[in-house]
Amino acid sequence: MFLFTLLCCLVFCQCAHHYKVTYNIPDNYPEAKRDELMATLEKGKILFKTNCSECHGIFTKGKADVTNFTNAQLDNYNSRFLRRDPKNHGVINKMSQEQMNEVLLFLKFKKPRNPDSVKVMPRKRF
Amino acid sequence: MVLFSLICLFAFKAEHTPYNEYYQSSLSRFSTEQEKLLLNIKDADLTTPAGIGVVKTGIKQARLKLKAIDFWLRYLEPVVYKKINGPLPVEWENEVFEKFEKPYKRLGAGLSLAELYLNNKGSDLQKDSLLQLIRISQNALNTYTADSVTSQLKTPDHFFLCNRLYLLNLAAIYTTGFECPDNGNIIPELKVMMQDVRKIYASFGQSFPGAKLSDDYLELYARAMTFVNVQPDDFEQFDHFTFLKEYVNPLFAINQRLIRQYNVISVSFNDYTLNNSCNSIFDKSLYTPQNSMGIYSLIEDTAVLSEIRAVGKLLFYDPLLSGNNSRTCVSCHKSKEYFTDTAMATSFNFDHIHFLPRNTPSLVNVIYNHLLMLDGRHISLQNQAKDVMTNPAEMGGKKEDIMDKILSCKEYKTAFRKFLKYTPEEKEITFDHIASAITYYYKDFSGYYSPFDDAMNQNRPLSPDARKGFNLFMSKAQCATCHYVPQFNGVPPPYIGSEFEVIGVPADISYSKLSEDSGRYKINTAYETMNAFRTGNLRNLEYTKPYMHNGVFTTLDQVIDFYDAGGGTGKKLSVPNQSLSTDSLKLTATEKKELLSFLHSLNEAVIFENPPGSLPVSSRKELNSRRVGGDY
Repeated sequence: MFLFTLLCCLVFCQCAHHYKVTYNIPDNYPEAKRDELMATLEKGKILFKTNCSECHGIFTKGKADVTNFTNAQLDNYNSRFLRRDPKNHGVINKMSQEQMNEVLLFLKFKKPRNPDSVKVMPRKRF
Repeated sequence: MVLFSLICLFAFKAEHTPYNEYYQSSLSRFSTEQEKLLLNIKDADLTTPAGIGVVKTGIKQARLKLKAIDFWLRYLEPVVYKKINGPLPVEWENEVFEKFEKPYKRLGAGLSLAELYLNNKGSDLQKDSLLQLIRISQNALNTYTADSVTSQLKTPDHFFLCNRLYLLNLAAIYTTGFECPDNGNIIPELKVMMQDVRKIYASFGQSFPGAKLSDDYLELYARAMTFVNVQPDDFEQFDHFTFLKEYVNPLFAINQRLIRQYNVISVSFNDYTLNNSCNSIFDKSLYTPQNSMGIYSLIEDTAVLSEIRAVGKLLFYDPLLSGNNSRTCVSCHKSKEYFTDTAMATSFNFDHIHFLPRNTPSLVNVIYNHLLMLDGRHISLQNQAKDVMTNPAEMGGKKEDIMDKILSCKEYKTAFRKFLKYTPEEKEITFDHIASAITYYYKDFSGYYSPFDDAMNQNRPLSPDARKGFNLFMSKAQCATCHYVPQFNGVPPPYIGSEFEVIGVPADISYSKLSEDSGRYKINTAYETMNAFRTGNLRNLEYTKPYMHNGVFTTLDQVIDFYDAGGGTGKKLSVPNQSLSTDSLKLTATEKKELLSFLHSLNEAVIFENPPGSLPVSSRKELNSRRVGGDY
């Protein structure tokens, strides 16, 4: 029984660990640019996983009261970043513009884990 | 119900603080003055000098009421402000957080432009156009009574940020004639403005007793006012140097301390690049410059960073970055010549027969530009570096080819493999790893200070001639209206955008014609940008000749002569969109000498490292005959 529980736990952890991200890419996104976009999203994914996910979730449980970035939260976060809000912690202020763009694109195009909870809609930055 | 009443009471109370009331009443006073001005214009006979005189007096009165609220207006809605007191009818802007986007067109209106219109139109004067410039301003003023703006007045945060911008403007523009067409009004307006800002301070102190300006600040501010009040009204006689050094800069330091002490939070783009921990306007940490780390931005390990720097230095001197394995970064950015080429107007083309169209810029302080290249075509140092390496006219390399050659050297390969581990988002070593190492190396060239900075920061003595030269720079010579304190480049407070100017540089020293380079127009096609170039940095001028985008002038005397004559137009060239004043500055020989003395006080104590002793060995034998620094 104990072994079985342990096994279940392990399987569960593995599943959680191997959460596979899928993307919502609009149908009218130019075919020629898709590979480029996918490469960017992949970079954004890794940057997020390495630098942000511990608190902001998506690849982990994250921390309570820390945003896991619905689109509305993302816009809010981005504008706070642009205002140099000191409540925004250091990592994002250190990123280069390119890295920042990669992470933001990843979060924008990522399919939410629970599709009912979030509406995906393209929004203007401000 | 009780809760509701409480909320109402609270809201009611917040609206009626002495501070808020002073804000609203000051705005009304300006609005009333503008209404009067509109009536004046309607009634005036603009064909007579008397009629024009009446309108000018009205503008002067309205300007004083505007100066009383400039403290708020300029910070709270900087874009709208351009409609109230725009310096130019049309401006193209591309600010640091919008670098990825196309430049925005901003139309100016308001008092300064109305005054210029009145001065310059002569017999073509149209009453409706003049009225329109003021009406736009009057409408724009409504923005400042909107909830989105006034809600910021309920907490103390905005106040210290408004004050910071106010102090930076005192340092950089308020005493120079920027946005003030009548030079005779500059210092009188300053005197009134400083008094009115003290009233703002007082009403703020009443409403926010928990976040007061400190006693040392108020005491120093009072002394600054005393100083200004006994200064002559002529801005050419005003002691800009002492004002900045003894008053404005120390006030800035106290305000920064208060920003930290009260944990002030910004909700404005004005503060995007400003650094709260900087304690002097002349500290190079004042604003965040270009990101020099690029792909390595997230690395914190100082040992790894110094390895990246060392590799960057090798690459800087390595001919493998070029298509012919002989040209390097230092071929044109010579390490003994402030990283520019002082011998040539413009550098050799890659073919070594033709010449490039533009003068090689010094890399010292290049990071303080928000847009790179003289036409602002690049938004990051890394993109610029990659462009030079692969540009057929410059280093003539091909990306894949350069990568292969670099990675054929064991030393580079080992280093980049190590760095790759710190950039997990990249699967393999990329061109960005190379470009970012180079930019990370050369950003250090910008970390030095000049005697002028030392005088400001450390109270070191500065020669009387240099001080006089600075006062000329800020007034009669009209330099400071484009070359802003503290970098003396085209980045004005709050240091979020780079400016471009049309000055009419000739193609040759005999002024036979205008330089054919269309400049910013290549990037942003607009009438105003034709022949416009990014305003240069004036530090280390003595060592960075020749001057101007095409290197046409070989001495600073020639440069000063060019400006003294009123730029290209003053030299009888046709420059219809010249943004530089076309009048002669009427500088005397002594004044020119003093101006030069000030410019020389901006020479920085740059320490030039020796080139690397050798370059990494390649597995391709034919590449190992290359020399450190290459050939030209």
